[in-house]
Amino acid sequence: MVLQEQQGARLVAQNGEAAVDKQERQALWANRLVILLVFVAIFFPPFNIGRISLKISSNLTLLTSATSYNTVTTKLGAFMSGAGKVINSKDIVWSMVGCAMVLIGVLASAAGACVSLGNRKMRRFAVLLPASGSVLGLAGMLVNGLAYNAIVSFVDSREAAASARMQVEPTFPLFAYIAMGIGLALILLTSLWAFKETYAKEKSYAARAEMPEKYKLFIMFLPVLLLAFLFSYLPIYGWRYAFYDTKAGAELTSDLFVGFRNFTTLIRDPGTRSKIVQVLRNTLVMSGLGIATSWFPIAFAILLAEVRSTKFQRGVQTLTTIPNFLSWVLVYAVALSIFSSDGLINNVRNLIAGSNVSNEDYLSNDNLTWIKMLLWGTWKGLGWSSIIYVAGIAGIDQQLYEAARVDGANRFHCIWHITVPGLIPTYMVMLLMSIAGILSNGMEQYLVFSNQYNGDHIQVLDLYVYNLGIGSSQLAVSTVVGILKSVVAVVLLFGANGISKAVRGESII
Amino acid sequence: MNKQEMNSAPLNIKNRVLAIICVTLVCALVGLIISAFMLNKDVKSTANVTLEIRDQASLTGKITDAERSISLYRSVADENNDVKHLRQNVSFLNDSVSSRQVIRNLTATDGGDGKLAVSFTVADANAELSFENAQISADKDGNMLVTLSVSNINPKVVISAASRDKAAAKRIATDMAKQLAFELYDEGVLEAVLSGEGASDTDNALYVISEAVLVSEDVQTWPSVWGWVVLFALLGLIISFLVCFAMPVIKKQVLLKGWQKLVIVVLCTAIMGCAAYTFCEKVVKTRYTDTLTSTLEVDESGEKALLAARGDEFGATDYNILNAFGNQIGSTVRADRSDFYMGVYMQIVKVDENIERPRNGLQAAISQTTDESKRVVFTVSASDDVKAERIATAAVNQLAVLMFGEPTGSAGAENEAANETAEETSAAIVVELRDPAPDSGEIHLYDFYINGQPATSEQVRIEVKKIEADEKAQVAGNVQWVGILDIDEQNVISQLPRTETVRYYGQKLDLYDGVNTILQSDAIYESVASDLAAIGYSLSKGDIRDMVELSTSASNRSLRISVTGDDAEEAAQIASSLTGRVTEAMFEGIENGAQMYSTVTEPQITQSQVRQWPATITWVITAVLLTLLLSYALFSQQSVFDTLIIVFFVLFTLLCVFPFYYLFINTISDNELVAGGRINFFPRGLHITNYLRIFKEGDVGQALKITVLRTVIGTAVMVFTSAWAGYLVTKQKMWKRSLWYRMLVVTMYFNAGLIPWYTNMLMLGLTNNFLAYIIPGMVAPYNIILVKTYVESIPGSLEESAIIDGASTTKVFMRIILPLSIPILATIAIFGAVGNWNSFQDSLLLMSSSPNLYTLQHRLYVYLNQTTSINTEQLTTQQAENLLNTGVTTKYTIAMVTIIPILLVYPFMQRYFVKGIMLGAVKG
Repeated sequence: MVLQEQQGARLVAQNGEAAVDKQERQALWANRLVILLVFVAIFFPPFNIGRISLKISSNLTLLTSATSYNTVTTKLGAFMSGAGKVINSKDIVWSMVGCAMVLIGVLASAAGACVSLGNRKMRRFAVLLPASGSVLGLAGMLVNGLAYNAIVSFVDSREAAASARMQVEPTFPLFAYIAMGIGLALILLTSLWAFKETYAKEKSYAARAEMPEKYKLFIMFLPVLLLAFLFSYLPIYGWRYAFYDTKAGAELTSDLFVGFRNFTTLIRDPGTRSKIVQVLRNTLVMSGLGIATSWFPIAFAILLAEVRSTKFQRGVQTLTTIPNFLSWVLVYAVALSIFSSDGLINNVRNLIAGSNVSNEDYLSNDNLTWIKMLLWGTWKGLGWSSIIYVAGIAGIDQQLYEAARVDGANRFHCIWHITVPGLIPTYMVMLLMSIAGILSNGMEQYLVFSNQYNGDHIQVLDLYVYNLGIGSSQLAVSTVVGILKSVVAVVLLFGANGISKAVRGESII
Repeated sequence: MNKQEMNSAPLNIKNRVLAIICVTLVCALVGLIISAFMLNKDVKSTANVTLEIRDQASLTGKITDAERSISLYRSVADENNDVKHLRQNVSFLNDSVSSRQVIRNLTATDGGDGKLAVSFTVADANAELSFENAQISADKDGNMLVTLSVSNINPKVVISAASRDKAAAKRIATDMAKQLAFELYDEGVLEAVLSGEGASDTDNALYVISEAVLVSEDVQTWPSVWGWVVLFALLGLIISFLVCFAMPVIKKQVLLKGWQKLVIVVLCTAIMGCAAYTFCEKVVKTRYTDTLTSTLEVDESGEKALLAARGDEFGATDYNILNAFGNQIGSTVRADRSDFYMGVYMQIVKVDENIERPRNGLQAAISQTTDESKRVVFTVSASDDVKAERIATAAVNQLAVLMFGEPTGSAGAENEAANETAEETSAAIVVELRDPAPDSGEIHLYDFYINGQPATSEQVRIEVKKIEADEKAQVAGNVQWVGILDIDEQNVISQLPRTETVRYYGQKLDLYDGVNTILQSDAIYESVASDLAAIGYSLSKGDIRDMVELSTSASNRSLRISVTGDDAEEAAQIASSLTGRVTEAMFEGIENGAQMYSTVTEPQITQSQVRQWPATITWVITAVLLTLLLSYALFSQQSVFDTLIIVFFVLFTLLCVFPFYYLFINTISDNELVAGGRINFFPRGLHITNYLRIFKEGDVGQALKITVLRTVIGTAVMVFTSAWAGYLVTKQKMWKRSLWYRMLVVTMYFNAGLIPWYTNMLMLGLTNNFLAYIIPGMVAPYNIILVKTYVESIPGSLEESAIIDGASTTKVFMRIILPLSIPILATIAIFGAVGNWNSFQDSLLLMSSSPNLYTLQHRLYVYLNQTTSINTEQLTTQQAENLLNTGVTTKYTIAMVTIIPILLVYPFMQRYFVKGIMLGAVKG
């Protein structure tokens, strides 16, 4: 028996959970699963129990409801003071306290789920956390409910109760309550179950609470994962706007669901279609020009490498990379200072002519917009893109050059037959990445340079999405275009990667 | 082998040179042909001739005979108040008379209201003629039909002739005037009945024809014929040279010999010098003459003789008068006004074409024309005749108002009043000008006549004086703007030429005391303070008083009222307002009893071009320096190809760097020069008040604070998180490590879209919240990959030994990995810091209702898009001036504030980002 126990102890010490009893494992996993679900739910608006008034934005999550007084009371603030007071701020605060309690409870449960990856000693402690957390959460829901009641009764006690109701629009978030209630209850239940399973066993064999290395590392990495999830994966939830008949500021109720109609409108409606075609044309032309001139950095680097003086090379590199570190707003400021009607060009022309003959504003017209954008992009990026090629040239084996010279090659032969082939691999990668990103031109450059004259030629896809969504609040179409763009971009990326694998034998991502 | 042989086959040098010459000549020919098409064919010059009909004491006409001619009677009262009708002789200024056929069908009719309507047809196809105060139409034969109205008020007919040749223009105008006069007077159409003797000198002339004055001359701008020829010849030369000599040389990589390099250097220098000379600043000066004519109730005998003795043209300024009206000029000529200060302040009285003036310099002069001493001619010089016209017109009007009060009714009504009886004319103020020689410092004198009697020395005069140039006006810091009332005290009165006198208010005042008394009173400062308050300055009268100082010049001939302050503009405003107010105070009594008719005539323009030498020299020096730089590059290179590369890189680097230099000098130079577009290559008028002012305006300072906070905190957090995550990811033991890693990396390539991102921020409560700058930026997959790659290159033995010693993961991270990763972390930090500093999009999208959270770039964007055109009617002069003056400078200054930190940190960064790119190039 002792031997078995010792063996069991060793096993436990080495393998942690694997040696744990199957039931305990089931209980723990169930617990973790429920905790995960509830944890994720606090980031989704439908589960926000704090939305006790229709005036609170439907986009708020439990997280915000618990933490940001300003956001919660954005529209309610007007009714919370003065003569027409229909809602007490302390009720709102109590509601927030309730939400905060839920939040803390869920966080505690999540912590418990993490800790439960440890050995038995840790697990015994760990399951207490979700248990208490869920109790706290349920208490919080109660507090929130009480606050809601207080609000309703206060509103009803107003003289013009009906209009007060209309102003405050208290609603009970039934779905959220049910969902969170069930969730918290399940957490409680599964924690109790796990607790039973954990405590049913003998006292822990291990002397200290510790966790296997792999889980420790995972838990240390978890915050990073969480942030990545919150800011890169969670936005996909925003794709739902594409499937509803979305009006800015209005709620997305189920009766507004239209399925793929927004997608088909994009293609069927001639106005939108021609606009999309125009925007696509601009995007492809701009990217195409960029790709067509993508050999400029190579030429720049090659020419720079031909200069004998390293000081000169370093100097040129340093100075020509300065524009790269500016934002496009600054580039626009520079453009204004040179090309506007009282800028450098006009001043010099006036100097030459001797009088004020010249005040043409070169920025406010639609001539050669694509070329202008290309030139600005080149000015900004040439020095920077050439750095990598300069480094590449430095990495080419010098013996090749010596051998070539011995064979009678002059400088141009060397460049064409040695340097260029040496840079081609890097160039290929860059080219493939450019092709993969053909639809993504960036928004900032085109936003700052856009004005009422050059809209037809300067509006690329990213800018179009911005203008549609933020400018004219057509959220649905904007989201649709955004979705399509993302999908196509990913497809292109994997296509480029596939080409790269096929041609070069390496992938680029 | 063959190729080499071909390359070294001796092409005949003689043939090559011949080829080059031929091509050059052919190109020159081509240039000649092209110039024929490109020349501006509409060049013409316009000359003005003034025909002044002097018979004005009473202009009555009646139709005498069937040929519809009119007799002109001149009624004059003699000592006994008997009316005499005089006829006077005609006087020509020149002798030659042109053909008489140009003017035909001359008729003169009594237009009523003292107007004489003269009409005739002009049949001259050679010149384009126009007439002032005329209605012009065409008769049935296509001849120009001109109808003039000449009256007491408007006794002048101005005839303008335009022609390709300026001499011809002058001649045609003069001939036309002569013929018209001849037709009017000589042929007896206008006939004066004289009882008595007539005089034959110009003083009693019935009419006077002025000298032809060239008023505008279109200048054939470059390139002229020669310009085109030279341009094309040069082009041909260069191309043929390249083809014949350079290409083989480049291909062969021939080394340049010493003398060849020298030749190239000399050539380049010569070309640069010529370019500099051509492009150097040329000043086009426009003299713009506006005329104020006042009717004159003159006693014929003595005064007229007096007036006739007047002499030459001269120029002078009356600073205080100009001062006072300066405020009246609209803000659309804001630049003129400030230049006007400068011009007036710095000008030298005599209009001397060789004197350097700022390009937009204005000069206001009161000058006297040759023929009419009762005229105050206001001369404004400007580089732009539109501006000059506006200013001159405004100046004259204001001058008239100041001196004579508001005009009393229309010209017609005035004429009526004048026509009633010559004797009953009421008071008029006469402006009489005397000309001191410009260098003598003597003063002009206006004499006032009140109630028909010359005002005595007990009464008033305004005097105008030459102003010394004072260079202190433009220095920042302790700025003195001086409003000058040049009044002189010596009072030699009775005889001619009068020199100087000043009296005010009918008392013999000690001038200094007089002005001093005025300056002691509170009232003047109150009014100045209220003037300033109206334009946005808030100074108390005590403050103003402290800034003001009264002094006399060395010769005791002028008084200076000095305003000293730290702000040039403020001081200028105070000076102008103060001198205006003092002038008002001094001349308060003038308007009583004054009655005046005044008319303003069309201005005359003359233009001339002058090269400004100092600017040329600057250009030439710069050109020579650049060439020397180039030749340094040349001499260290071995072949032509290398030289070309050097040139290319120098040009491109200049292109990258010059915009920042340009922005910078525009922020530290004098704001008015910037607004006038004068600061292009060198700063002038250095000061840093722009930067100081920027931070006083709250929103930029706030944006700066936010951006700095964001950069520091955000970057620190991001670097730490990336290091931590990068290290953890290298641990193979992590549970499902490759899965999490892939999930992290995929986010780099996949973007959910703008709207989803925005709603996500909304859901997470990060809108209008400073944390939106920090938290989303914490996880940057690219940086994590960089760190991972780097950490993987650290020898694993270091870690293992630490673990064996019992260190936990965190301890290993902090003690071993972190210190070793400093290079890559520095790289990440730099990119992160630059990214944070330049961030614009998140501020734009997320901070819509909290402008106090805008980043610097966003704030710059807001400023850049502020409208630059201003509806100036709604603003006062000073407000508009402020806005125009600071709008462009503010934008540049904010941009510089945004750029300068990057430029400062940049030298230290360079080491790291090159490395960073290298590391990033390795597949993650």
